[in-house]
Amino acid sequence: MADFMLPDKVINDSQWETNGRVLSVFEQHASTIEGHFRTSQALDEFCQSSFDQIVQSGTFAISKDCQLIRFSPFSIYIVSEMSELDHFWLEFPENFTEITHGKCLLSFQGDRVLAFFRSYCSIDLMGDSVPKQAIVKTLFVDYEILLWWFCDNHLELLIDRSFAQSFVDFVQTAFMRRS
Amino acid sequence: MQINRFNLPGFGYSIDLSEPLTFSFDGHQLTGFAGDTVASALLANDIHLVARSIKFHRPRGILSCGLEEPSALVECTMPGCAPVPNLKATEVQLSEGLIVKSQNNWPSRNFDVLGALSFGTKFLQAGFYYKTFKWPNWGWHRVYERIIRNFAGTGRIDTDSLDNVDPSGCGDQRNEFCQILVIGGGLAGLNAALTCARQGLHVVLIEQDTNLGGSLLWRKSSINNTTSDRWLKEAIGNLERYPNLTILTRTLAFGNYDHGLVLAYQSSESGETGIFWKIRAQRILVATGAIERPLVFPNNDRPGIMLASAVRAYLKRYAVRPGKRAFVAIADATERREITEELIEAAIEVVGTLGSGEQITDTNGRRRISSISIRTPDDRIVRHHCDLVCMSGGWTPVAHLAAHVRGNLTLNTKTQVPFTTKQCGSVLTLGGSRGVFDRNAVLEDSESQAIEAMVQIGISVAQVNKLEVTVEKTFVEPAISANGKTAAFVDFQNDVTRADLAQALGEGYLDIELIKRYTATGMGTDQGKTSWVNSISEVAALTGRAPEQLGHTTFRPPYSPISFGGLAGARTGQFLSPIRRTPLHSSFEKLDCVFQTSGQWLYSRYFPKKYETLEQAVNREVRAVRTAVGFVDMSTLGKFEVKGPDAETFISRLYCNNVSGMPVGKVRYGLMLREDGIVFDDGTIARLGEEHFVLTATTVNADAVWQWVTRLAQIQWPQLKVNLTNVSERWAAIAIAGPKSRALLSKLPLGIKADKNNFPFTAVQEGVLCGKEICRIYAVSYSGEMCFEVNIPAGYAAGFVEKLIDVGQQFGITPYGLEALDVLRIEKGHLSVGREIDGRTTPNDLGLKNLVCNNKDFIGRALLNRPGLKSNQRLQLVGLTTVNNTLEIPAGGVIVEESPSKKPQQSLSGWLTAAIYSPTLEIWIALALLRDGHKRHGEQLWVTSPVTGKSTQVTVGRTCFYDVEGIRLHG
Repeated sequence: MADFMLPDKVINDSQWETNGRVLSVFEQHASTIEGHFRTSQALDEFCQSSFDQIVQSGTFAISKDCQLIRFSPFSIYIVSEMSELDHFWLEFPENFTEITHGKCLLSFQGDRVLAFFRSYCSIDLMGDSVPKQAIVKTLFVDYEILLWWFCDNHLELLIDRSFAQSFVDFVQTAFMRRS
Repeated sequence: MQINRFNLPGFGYSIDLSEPLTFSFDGHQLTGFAGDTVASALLANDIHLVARSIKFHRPRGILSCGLEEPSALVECTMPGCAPVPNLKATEVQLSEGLIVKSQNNWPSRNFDVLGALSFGTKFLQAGFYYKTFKWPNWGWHRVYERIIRNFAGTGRIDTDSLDNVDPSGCGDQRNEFCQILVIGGGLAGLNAALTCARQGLHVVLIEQDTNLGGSLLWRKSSINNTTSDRWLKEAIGNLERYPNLTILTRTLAFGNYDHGLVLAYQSSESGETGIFWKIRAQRILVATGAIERPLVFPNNDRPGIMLASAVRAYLKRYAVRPGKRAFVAIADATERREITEELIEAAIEVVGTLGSGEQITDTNGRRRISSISIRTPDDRIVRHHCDLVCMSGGWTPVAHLAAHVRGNLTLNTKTQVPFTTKQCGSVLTLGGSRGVFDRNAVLEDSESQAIEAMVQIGISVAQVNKLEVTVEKTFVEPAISANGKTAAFVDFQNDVTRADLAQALGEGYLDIELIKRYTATGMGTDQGKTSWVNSISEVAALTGRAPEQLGHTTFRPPYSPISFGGLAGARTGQFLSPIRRTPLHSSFEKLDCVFQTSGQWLYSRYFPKKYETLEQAVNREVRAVRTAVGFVDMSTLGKFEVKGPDAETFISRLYCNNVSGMPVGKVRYGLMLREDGIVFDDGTIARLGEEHFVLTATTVNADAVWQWVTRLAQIQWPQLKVNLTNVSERWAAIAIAGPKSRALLSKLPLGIKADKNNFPFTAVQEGVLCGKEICRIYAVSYSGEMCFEVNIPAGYAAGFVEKLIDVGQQFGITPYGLEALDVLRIEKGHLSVGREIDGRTTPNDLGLKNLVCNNKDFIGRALLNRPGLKSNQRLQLVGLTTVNNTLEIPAGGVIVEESPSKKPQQSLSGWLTAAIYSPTLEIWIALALLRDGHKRHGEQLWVTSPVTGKSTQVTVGRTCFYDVEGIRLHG
């Protein structure tokens, strides 16, 4: 009976190659909670008390096995592969709601993957106006994504679960077309 | 080697003689070289008659060497691809195996039956169709249009061949961002790009040609004490050194929009696919140069009459002689001398030049020019035998891109050169595109404009003196363009003659915009490139007004045509729109589900068994739900959590029904109104805790409702302490419906008490799936049967469905889809967004008046009490059954009072919103909106379909056809 308690994979991990360039994608299973606060100050205080740091709006930070993604002044995602996040929404039930399974966390790696994504996003990911450790909510062609990156060759993103397969299919086609 | 190709040093550097290519034109096998365009290859093979004109079917040749070509439109087919009509022969790169066909002729371009129309140029003047084909009043639609449509337009799409096109091989759409975008890779553009790149700015340079250089590619001159060839070579070498500079060749900027957005299309080398670019720049430097202007004289459209710059380009770039005996008609003395020298160098005999005071009176030649007649100042007519005329009436700056963002254009009276007077938005023009033609002045101008652009975006650069723009050259001598008895074409593409313009003016069309619409001058793909200034000049001459007083018509994108395929980019086939899959998708694939798109969702439609039709499958699924148990995917519903001390107040204002005092663990049907009192959406409200609710919205309105509630929370009622979270994607929702659903539920590992006492209708429970994950089960029904909607974390959906089917076998569980769901809800009289909730109905219209709570405030309350919404003439929801139970109720029918066979013309009393055959009741039933319907129960009316012509007599009744008392719901 417990077999079906293994969560499904939304996409198949894949690697594509064209013209000597490689792009790989894999899905990370992680617990995710979404938090809303009535003021940005309240969210600052939460971050300070729980993670000993303030995460600026539109940026991300990593602390205590958790990734903090502050996508608006009042809202935050907390993502963790390692630790359970139950205590947050038990401790702050009014503020936090679990959304695990609702979002698909995808990791893309490959040569100049950031430049590849830049070609399809509505915002200039490599522009001066995008700060380091930025969280960017943008459209990848018609797909709404929330992405961030660690270097030119590695980025991660959150996308609604229902769109994930179609999105990955599109990325594959676009990447192969660049030949 | 082709007949007109020559091999001389300094000629033909755009082609590669070591790479011959074969292609066909109208079935004849020809050869060319890599780097050729179709036009250069045709000229090299001594083919001048390329197409027939749109209206008079006159023989037309190649006028130009670029995108301004108005005449030489051809159909091209790449090997393995569908034919593409209406391509400019001057733009299509030659490739191996290319199939080229001429257009607008039958049976052949050399002998075209409709060529007889060319004798009627006087008869078929502007407005001919409007005036001629208006009698009798039925004639246009029944007769004339059908005949004329067969001859109208150019090019034909071969729809059969489209079936063989692989959409995945189509183009791409990409974004580019830069500080400076330079459009045009000629002298001005190259210099501006270099100026900006040296400062380290991110620069994008786009050029529509395959090669950078613009007019430097064919015009010899001295630039900064060096030759133009050397300057160009050095400039390109310098450009390649800057990593901050991106060069896109074969890229046409076709649209310029606000906020620095430029749309461009980059053709691939093979021409098969392309990239649709969206480029956002802080400043745009338009260095698109100028287009040479044709001369207007009688019979000026014969093949062999070409723009002088085109002749020079074919000589210099492609080593092609467009003729053997040339007549030169160029007003500007310097240009006349230059081309004469080049023609002689290429061994083309110059039979004459147009002298001062001379006028062209006519040309001769059937399929190609054979002679030109000149009237000398002493009034003699001299005929020159020639097969090529090089003409130039001056230069027209390409101001289209600046004009797209409402850059004002002024026509210089003296020179008749239009140019932009001031910067418009982020667009700066430079060089030839604003009337600066001298080479050294262009360098000075492009540098100063580039620096101006950099300064404007905050880059500190040493300013240089700005060039005071004075348009230097005046080429046009109207005296060249003599009047004559035969047609003198102002617009080659639309067959507009000087006489057409005179006709329009004579009929009172004095405004240039009206003249354009009446005569079609400047329309089509030409968009006035070669015709605009000539049209203005002609109208000015005919009216005696100054050209600058006439203004100009509106230039709109695209500057030059882009195929629909190019605009679609990658949005073809499965990528036309993003596809959303529910968490149950993979499970349903295994169950041989037939999916259908519903918005962006791929939704389960029905589950056919072998050899089963849609109807049979749906009936089986419906019976399973009514007699045993079925399950359906409800994951697409919107699901929103509302938390906080003011959650109840928030929801109370949001819905028109009463939620005050709603106990924890209960679910209620909710009706949401718009501010105007019309029903917006319906769904459920579940209370999980004192300060914790879950709302559902219909699939169609899920996004709209989410936007609406977040807007209310953030803007309308910020004082309410609520937090909203969209959890639509978090939960997979599976509705288990049927008389055996409770028994099945009790056997599932959900950690709940499923007996009737603990879990009655309209209750909600939180359970623990396999003792591990929280799940939620709602006792609600859309089918009219006892039903439990199980919400589990989406990641466990596939496994849960396996478990459900496994456990459900003993109860005869059956999956059902959207079709069966629709039948079930119609039998029960439930509402559907888009059908009954159609954006016009109120709660009262839908029979839900009792739901509206008048003891509280809610959105839509005030306007719900408008007299108009309370009128007894409103359409109200009713149920219909046939008087004769065996007859079908025609879907999409309208309701009338009497039999349509007895009274064919009668006003409508309403219309159907849904009509089905009920497998449960074994009769046809329907829901309908009927005028004053609630008071008409028991009456007999008629439903008739204007489409099928079928009619049925029906009885009006209540909307619920099945289990009216609701006994089955409660189990």
